[in-house]
Amino acid sequence: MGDNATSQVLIGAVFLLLAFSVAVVLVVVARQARGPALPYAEVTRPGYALRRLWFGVVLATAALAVVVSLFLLPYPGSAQLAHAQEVRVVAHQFFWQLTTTTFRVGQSINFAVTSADVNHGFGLYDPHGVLMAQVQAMPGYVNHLVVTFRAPGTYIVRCMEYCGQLHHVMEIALVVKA
Amino acid sequence: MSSSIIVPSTAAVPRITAPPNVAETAQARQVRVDRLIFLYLGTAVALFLLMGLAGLTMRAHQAGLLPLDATQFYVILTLHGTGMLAAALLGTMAALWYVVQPTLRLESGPLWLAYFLAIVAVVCVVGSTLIGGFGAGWTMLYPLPFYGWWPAWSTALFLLGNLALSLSFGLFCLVLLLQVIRTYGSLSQALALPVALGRAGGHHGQQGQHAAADPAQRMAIPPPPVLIATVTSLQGLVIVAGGAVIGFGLLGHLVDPAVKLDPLWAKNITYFFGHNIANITLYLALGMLYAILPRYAGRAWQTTRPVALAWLVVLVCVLLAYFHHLYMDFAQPRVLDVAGEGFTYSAVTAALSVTIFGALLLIWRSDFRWTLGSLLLYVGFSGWMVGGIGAAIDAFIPANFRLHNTLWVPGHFHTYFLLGVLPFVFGFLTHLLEGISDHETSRRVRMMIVVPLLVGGYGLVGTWLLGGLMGLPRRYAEQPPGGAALGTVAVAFVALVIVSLLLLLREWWRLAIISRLPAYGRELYDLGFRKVS
Repeated sequence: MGDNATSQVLIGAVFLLLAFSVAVVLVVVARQARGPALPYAEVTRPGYALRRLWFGVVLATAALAVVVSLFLLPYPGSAQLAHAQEVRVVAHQFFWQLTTTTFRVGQSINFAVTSADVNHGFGLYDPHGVLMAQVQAMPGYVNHLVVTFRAPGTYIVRCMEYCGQLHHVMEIALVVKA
Repeated sequence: MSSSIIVPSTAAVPRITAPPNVAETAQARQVRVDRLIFLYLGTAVALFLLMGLAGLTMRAHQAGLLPLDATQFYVILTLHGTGMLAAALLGTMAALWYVVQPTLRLESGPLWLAYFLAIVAVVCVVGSTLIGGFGAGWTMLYPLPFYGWWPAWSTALFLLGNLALSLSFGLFCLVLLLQVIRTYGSLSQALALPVALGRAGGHHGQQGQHAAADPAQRMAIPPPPVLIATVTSLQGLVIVAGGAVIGFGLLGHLVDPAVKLDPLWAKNITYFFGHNIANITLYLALGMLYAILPRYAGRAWQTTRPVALAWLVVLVCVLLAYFHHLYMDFAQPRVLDVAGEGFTYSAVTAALSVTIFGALLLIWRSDFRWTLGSLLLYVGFSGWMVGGIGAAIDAFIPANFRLHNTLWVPGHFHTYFLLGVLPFVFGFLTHLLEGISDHETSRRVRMMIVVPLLVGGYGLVGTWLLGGLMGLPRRYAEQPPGGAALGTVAVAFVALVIVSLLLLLREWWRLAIISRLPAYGRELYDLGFRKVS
């Protein structure tokens, strides 16, 4: 499936791990809840201490996630924009208009995306059908998405923002040559 | 059965003297409130079921099992989203009102008016969609409402319907907030600020004090349901104000197309309103959970300092977390994107550390009384947690780059609703019916209801989450490759959910017959019923 699918696989793995953990905790707590009750003070004494630790772990994880995200933001910087070839993209109900649809491997492309009518979503899928990048197409605004094509093939652009009755057929093919 | 129930001491619940201008007896007032609560809950159930059928229609079409025009699909999508929101609001408003009513002595007049406004909203939305063909989606993202196949009158009617729903919820919040301030003396007291600042209360401190009759001496600490009522009603008023701003903006453009809105500004206000009004149904339900769960655990859930602090965090952070809906609008100022992550994870931290951990602690080694009602509440608890995982992942900007507007989004919010809010509301109704009828559902029937709900529900949302990982876009009437197969699997899981709900309806009917609910109204005036507290 290629490198583009790595993110989705990682996301799926994280989700399953956390969801499974939730399931285990809920089952264990439910089973422990049967039988003679402990006085609540005997539960809260160690419980509140555990909660302080838990709070620390959750807060640290959340803070780490925010910090890590700052290094993985999809928003192009000025250097990236300067070295990318600009391709203007205008979204319409219900078709895409691009200044070119043919590219070469290794090319860094600055898709300057806007809309002529309603909000659309520029969703770029690689030849394996994996969603590799996206940006909103907004009327009155130009959003810049920088993508480097690393493999030849036919890439599909689909609309990612509900835009009307032909939202689901609004796609265009981009050809990337070696 | 009754002799084995462990009931928390009623001394833990503040008893506040009723305002002197109440003419009727306290029990007669409770009569009216109970019937009104059942009206809210019954309407919520009916809406959930009807909108659920609409959802099944869409999923069946996506599976290739049911032919629909694209416009029909998107009209049903619009109706389904708005109708489900109305159902969730009605159910959770009733649940919170019910649990705080003994403390706050709320008048039922405003609740009747709020119900009437909600019905007007439903009629408007049904009219605009099924008759007018309005299909812009429940979010009505500007300028789409003005670029569709539907006539302008259906746009106006849909907008009016949303405004009516907002007014309904806004009235509920206003009445709740005014009464909670009146009862506790100040907003600061109602928010348990002294507890949050460490000046009052504590883990085993002055919990649940009675409010003094003399307003100058009121030092009561609100119990958690009342604290949550304060937080959610404050949030609700801000949310409704935001909804009014975008609503009137859209109406303005409808009346005069020369009145244009900035698309980015409009998107911000739209998602501020949409994210928050959907989320707040969960928090209203949590207010109910803080009141009801202790009854089954035989322990009190008190307003400790962590609880007070957590709900202050929720007050601010949940409102501002909405920025996470605009990560892919690259024109949005970067600082707001990162702030959206920060606010989202702050709210998640508060929820995980306090409500979730607190609930698990409450239940741990408690000889918890498992009934159908409490089991459904536990299912709702699971849905809130698992839905939260999906949401937290989607709120991580690099992940959102791959998941935004894919099926991951309906995957996580259907986990919140189908497996969170719906079991919370249905569990609450079951709790009431089991209490009034003084009967519990057998273990066998409990399993027959809950197991299909869990398997079917998590299976259904699993098809969306998997679809999201596959990059399948949301809101597609016709599916890209792989989508139809997932849709077929989803329909099979929905069948399980339907089995569960049919058995649950049957069980409600059985409990209602035992409690002679049809004669409820007449009986209550004979003071012959047993109040479910």
